[in-house]
Order: sequence, then C-alpha cells, then structure tokens
Amino acid sequence: MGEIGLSAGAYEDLRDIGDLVDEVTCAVRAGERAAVESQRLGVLLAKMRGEVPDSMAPLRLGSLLAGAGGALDEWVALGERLRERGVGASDLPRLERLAEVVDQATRAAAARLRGRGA
Amino acid sequence: VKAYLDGTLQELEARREHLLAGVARRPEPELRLLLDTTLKHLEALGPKIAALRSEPRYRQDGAEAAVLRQLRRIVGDLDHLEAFPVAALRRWEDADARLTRLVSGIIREIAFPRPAPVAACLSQDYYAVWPESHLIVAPLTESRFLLHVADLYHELAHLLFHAKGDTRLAPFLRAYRSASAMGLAYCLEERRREEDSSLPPHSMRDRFGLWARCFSSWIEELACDLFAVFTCGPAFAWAHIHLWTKRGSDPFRLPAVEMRWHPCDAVRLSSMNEALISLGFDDDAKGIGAHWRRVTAAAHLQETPAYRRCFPSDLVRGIASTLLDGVAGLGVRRVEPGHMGPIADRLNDAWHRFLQEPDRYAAWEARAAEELMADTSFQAGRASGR
Repeated sequence: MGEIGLSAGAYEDLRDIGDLVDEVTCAVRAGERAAVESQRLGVLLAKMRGEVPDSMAPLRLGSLLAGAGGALDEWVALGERLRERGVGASDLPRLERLAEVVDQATRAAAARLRGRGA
Repeated sequence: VKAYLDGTLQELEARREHLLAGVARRPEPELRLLLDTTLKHLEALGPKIAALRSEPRYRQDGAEAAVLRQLRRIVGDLDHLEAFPVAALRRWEDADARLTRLVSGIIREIAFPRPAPVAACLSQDYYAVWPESHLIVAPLTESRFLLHVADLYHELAHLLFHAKGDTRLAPFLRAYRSASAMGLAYCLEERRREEDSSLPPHSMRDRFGLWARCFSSWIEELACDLFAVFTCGPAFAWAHIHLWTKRGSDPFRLPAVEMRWHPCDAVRLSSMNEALISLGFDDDAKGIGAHWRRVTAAAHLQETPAYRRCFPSDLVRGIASTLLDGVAGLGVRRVEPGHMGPIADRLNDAWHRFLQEPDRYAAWEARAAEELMADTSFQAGRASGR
C-alpha cells in the first residue's frame, strides 16, 4: 500500500500550526504584542510535554521538532515564555526556525495530497 | 515583491468567491454537515486573505517569507475544497448515496462514537479522508465492489484523531500518545547511539532522526489499521495485501531523505497480524502471514537490515498491543470469529469466497455488492457467522 490512501489530517494540523507561528512571528517583528496568538502558540508548545492530549497538533509538532534536532525542552521553554510574558525580538530566530520546520513538513504533506512527492 | 504577492492574493480572493458562489446548496440531510463545513471554510478564508493584504504586520519589510507561506497554505485549502467537498456537492449521484449509506450502516454496526461522514466516489487515487470536511473519498466505481470496502473502517478511524474535545476518545488518544512515545524514544536513543559510534555521520544517525519525525504519522496509520482489524476483522488485512499486490512498492523500504506519512507495508501487516491473534483469529493470521510471504517472495522482496533496525519485533508488538487497548477503550464493537455484524460478515465472506473460488467470485460479488449497498436495514448488535 505504501503511500497509497491518505488522511489530510496531518496537513490540516500543520497548516494551522504554520499559520499561528507566522502570525506570531510577524507580530513580534512589527513590535506588536499579539497576546492572543502568543498565548495560543505558547500553550501548543507547552502541551508537547503534556500527559493526556486533547488534540493531535501538539503531538505532531513534538514529534516533528524532536526529530529535527535540538532539544525539545528548548521549544517547550519558548512556549512557557510565550504564555507568561510574550516574546521579544531576541526570540525571532527561533520562531523563524519553527516556521521553517513546520512549513517544510506542511509542503511535504500538501504535495502528498496532490499526488506529488513523498 | 510586495505588489506581486498582493496581486496573487487578489487572484486567490477571486477564486475563493467563485468557489463560494458555485457551492451546490443540496437539500439531502446526509449532506448537511459537508455543506456547512464547506461554506464555513470558504467564508473563513476571506478575512484571512484580506488580513494578509492590509494588516501592517504583514505589509512590513521582512514579512514576505511569512506572507508567502500563508499564501501557499491558502492555495492548498482552495485546491482541496475545489477538488473534493465542492466537487462532491456539485456532482452528487447515486453511487455516492449508496456508499454514504453503507458508511452509516457501518457506524451503527460498530457503535462508532462520531457522526457519519459523507463518502463520495470521486477519488482519482485511492481511499482518502479529509477530517475537517468530514469527507471520505473513494474510487469512482468502488460501490460496485467489495474486496477493498474494509478500508472504509481505516478511514473512519482517522476522524477520531481530529475530533476536538470529545472525552470519549481519551483512551484512544492516550494510547496513541504512549505508542508514539515508544517509537520516538526508540529512534532518539538509536540516534544517540549512532552519534557515539565511529561510523560516518551520514549513516544511520540521520535516518533515525528522520524516522523520529515520521513516527507520529506512522502511529496514526497503525492505529487506524488496528481499529479496522478490531471492528472488521481479517477482511481488512486481506484488503491490505490485495492493495499492495496491485499497487504497492517495496514493503520493507524506509525513507532515507524525505518524510513519509505511511509506515512501510510490512510493519503494517505485522501489527495487523498481532491484532488478529489477540482477537482470536489465529488461523486467519497464519493464512494471511503465509500469503504475504508468498506474494512478497514472488516479487523478490525481503526484510532489509534497515527495516529490522527501525522496527524490532518487540517494539512492533508493544506498539500494537498499546494501540489495540486504546481501540478497545473506545467501546466500539469488536469482531470475534463467528460473531460479527452483518456488514463485517459480508466483507469477510467476500474474501473467503474470493480466495476459495476466484473463478466464480465476480458474478457473486456483483450481486452481493448490489445487495449490500442497497440495504438500509443494518442494525448494530445483530450477530451472525459464516
């Protein structure tokens, strides 16, 4: 069966995560607080370490980031900072990295849905 | 580049408006959920496009990469909406109604804890599911055949992963998390060991990193497979082999560079057989395993060292057992030898007949599929046996 037959669930989760990360990244770059979006992203990152999942998104993201190199704890710490006080310009490189990792996986999932690529 | 991106966003807005205007407002009750979610999705994209065009945070210098990423995701959504939900509503026909009715029958029979999705015969590939749209798509002529219908059970299980806030699903998701953690921990530990070794850095270390990224998706697929075995029985494992025979690639092949969303076929079949044995289908598991070995040998394919590294038997057994417990925790109806609902029984009977009398199967299937798809009387809880 291989890659025959598919679920769009991974694409849908990654798309939503990607949108959220880009919203926060652009807001930080513009010097906006974006409290609601930052809070949502912070909760998502922090939930990667949670015990009982209430949705697939944090699980999928956790697996993606753990395999992408670097310590998952650092991403969870970013989530905590986002939840508690928002992030500043010094966190931009890390947010950009997050956006890239998620975007790469989203594009792979989208290509698969369209019958192209892995 | 800003002006170009702005023009592209205007183009997308025109496409969105055109699609929205073209949604067929069909009256059939079974299409209500699909219609609502499709309209809602298309409507939600409007403000998103407008924001990218007007909000200062997206207009500033340096935001172009983020705008481009979001723009591409909007294109992805429009592609999907156009190809599946909008198309399904526009060209709804008898074959779609038949398959949707069968899915409703399955849901009643197995006590599936979520609403029935629409099943439309418009896939250009194979079965697929779009959880957000609550839509399953199948090949055009699928309502005329039986051997692959068991795949519907697998697709239904995907919906469980994307139902937010339903506490009935907690045992299933908890099992998913545990199984994912097992796979992830194994890959990360192996990657660490490879880092400590004197082998070149490009050897297995990078592959374990890649497999770690794939594992959560692989576990989702395995969980859906085991859900299908738990609720439909051996017919699903046979359908898996049959699909591989007709369309599959090397079942032991693992990704080396890019992510793959499905685990390789060999580990899928291996975990299905673990589940069949747990459910009491020992003889079926034996027959399925032997048949699998014969067809893969005929294609000159066999286990590779990489396959054995990625999927050691203990890991596969542990994952299968954990996931099966999670499926059981859903409270869905399990099949047992001689005791299955009428739809599962018919699908297993189809496989039995196909394997026993392949020459006479087609004529029988034509009648049986017609009866199955036309039958609206399926009731959960009615036991029957072959």
